[in-house]
Amino acid sequence: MDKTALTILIRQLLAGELSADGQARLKAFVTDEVHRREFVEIVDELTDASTEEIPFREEVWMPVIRKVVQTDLPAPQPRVVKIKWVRYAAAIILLFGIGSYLYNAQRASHAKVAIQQTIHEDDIQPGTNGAILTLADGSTMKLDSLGNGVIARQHGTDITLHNGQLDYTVPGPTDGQTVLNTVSTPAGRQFRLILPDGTRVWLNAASSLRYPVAFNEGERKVSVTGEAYFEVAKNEKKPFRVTINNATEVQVLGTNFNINAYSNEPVIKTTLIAGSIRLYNLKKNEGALLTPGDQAIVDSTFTMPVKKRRVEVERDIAWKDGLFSFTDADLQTVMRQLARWYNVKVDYQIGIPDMRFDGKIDKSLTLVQVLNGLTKKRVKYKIEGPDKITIYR
Amino acid sequence: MNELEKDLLRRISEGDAQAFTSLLKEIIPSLQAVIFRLVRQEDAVREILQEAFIRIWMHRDKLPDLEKPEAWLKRVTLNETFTWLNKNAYRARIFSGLSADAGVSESTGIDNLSLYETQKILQQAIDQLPPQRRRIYLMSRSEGLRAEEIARQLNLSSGYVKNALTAALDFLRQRLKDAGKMMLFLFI
Repeated sequence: MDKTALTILIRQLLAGELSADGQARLKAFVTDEVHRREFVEIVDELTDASTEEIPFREEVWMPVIRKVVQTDLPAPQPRVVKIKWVRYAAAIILLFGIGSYLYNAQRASHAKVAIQQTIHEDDIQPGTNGAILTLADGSTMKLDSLGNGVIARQHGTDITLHNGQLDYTVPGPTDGQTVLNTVSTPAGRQFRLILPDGTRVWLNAASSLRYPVAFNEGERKVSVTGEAYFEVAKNEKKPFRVTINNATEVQVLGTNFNINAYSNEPVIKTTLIAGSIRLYNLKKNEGALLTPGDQAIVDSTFTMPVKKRRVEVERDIAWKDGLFSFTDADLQTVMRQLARWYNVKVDYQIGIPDMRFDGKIDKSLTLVQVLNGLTKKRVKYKIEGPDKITIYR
Repeated sequence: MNELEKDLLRRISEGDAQAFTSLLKEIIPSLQAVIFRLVRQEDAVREILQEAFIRIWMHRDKLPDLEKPEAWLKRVTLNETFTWLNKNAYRARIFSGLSADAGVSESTGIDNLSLYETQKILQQAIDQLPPQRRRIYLMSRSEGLRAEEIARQLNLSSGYVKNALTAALDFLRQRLKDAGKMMLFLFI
């Protein structure tokens, strides 16, 4: 093909007016490497980059640019990830690194029965039961690894740990002092306890509950951060009060309800399952009476009026039975929950993809299993380390 | 394309990723308009420009010496377009009679595979740099230090550091070329 003929074809190509015959001829032309220079020169002559533009789109190009400037970075340093092999009492420690794979055979021999199982190198294990108990004197006890039995005795109250549940019992008369304890869960732990009045509390990950070891005459008062589900023991003479961030209060007679008050969630949600509660926004000095199935919403700045809506309560308390449950939840909402349970930080490489999720996920799955489930909904992710993941579009 | 400032190119030549981002933001609108007319597929435009940008980035030390940077940038991009057409003629809409907007084309992942390979080659090449040169390169890229700063910390002249960085880039480019990942500095 001579240059004139080629120029005509390329001009037609640029104009989007290439005939079927022209397509075939040009295709044959570009599939031969020797024509590189000629092609580049003609296109260069026929186009003027200063006369046409397609606007720059941040969300398309920033990831490309980021990848480009990272191509010539050195390989990340190998990192060590510890994986606990819970199925068999003996723990195997595997060392992983990028490009190198080290298996510590000596340690592995302790776990005689270990069956080979496919493990995603960088997988992150789900949370477990556990919490930290802070006694009135400020001393702390890690409740993850303690065995069953009485673990502390304070002012006439026995604190017993039984199958991962903390139980406060008052065997005799107390000395009447108000002694406060705090149970707090880090990310990746949840915990159950029974308060001295028989009220049962489930504490979700990254949450805390502060309560007296023995309730006084007249009232039962506790305070909560994060998320907790209460089954309050009925006692009409002693109303039960829950304070949330010192700004909202729930008054109870005997009832089951859930409070979700994480500081990184946009609102505080109080959901009533059974009985009756009254919710007060102490800053606005206003309240709402809830009936079962109601959810009260207080914005985290406590400046808006309390809102009330009807919900399917099972979804709001699924967490205590080992499930994540989402109703038309956006990706960030989903990720905030995963972050608390898998103890990871979530980064978004480019904005936050607009997606909605519905359904339930078993909390005993590993993070990779959960993320692979979400990936079917086209979420791309990368595990950057034992405590960090990045979401791509 | 606007007249590009010398200072921006100088900063890019020293490995300033932010300066490079500003340059790309400036040139992407017109470059993508030209390439789109040649391939008529948005994902292809992205693949092509990604490869071109890697090429440009890996030649960053040469940018301040270019007489007509805009013309060179366009040439590099057109070369990359040819490479793409040469490899992917069967995928190109223009050769199959499909119109530009015939549905959303699914991404093939080719762009990322190629990027991953390039990354691997470069990472291995960095490991093979002589110790002093490697150290200087890492201080520049991983820690984002400027040549003067590296010179001060290592008690070297800044000329020495600049030469070491150029030599390191030369070596990395050679490795890419050996692996068939990059042609030599084309047509300038």
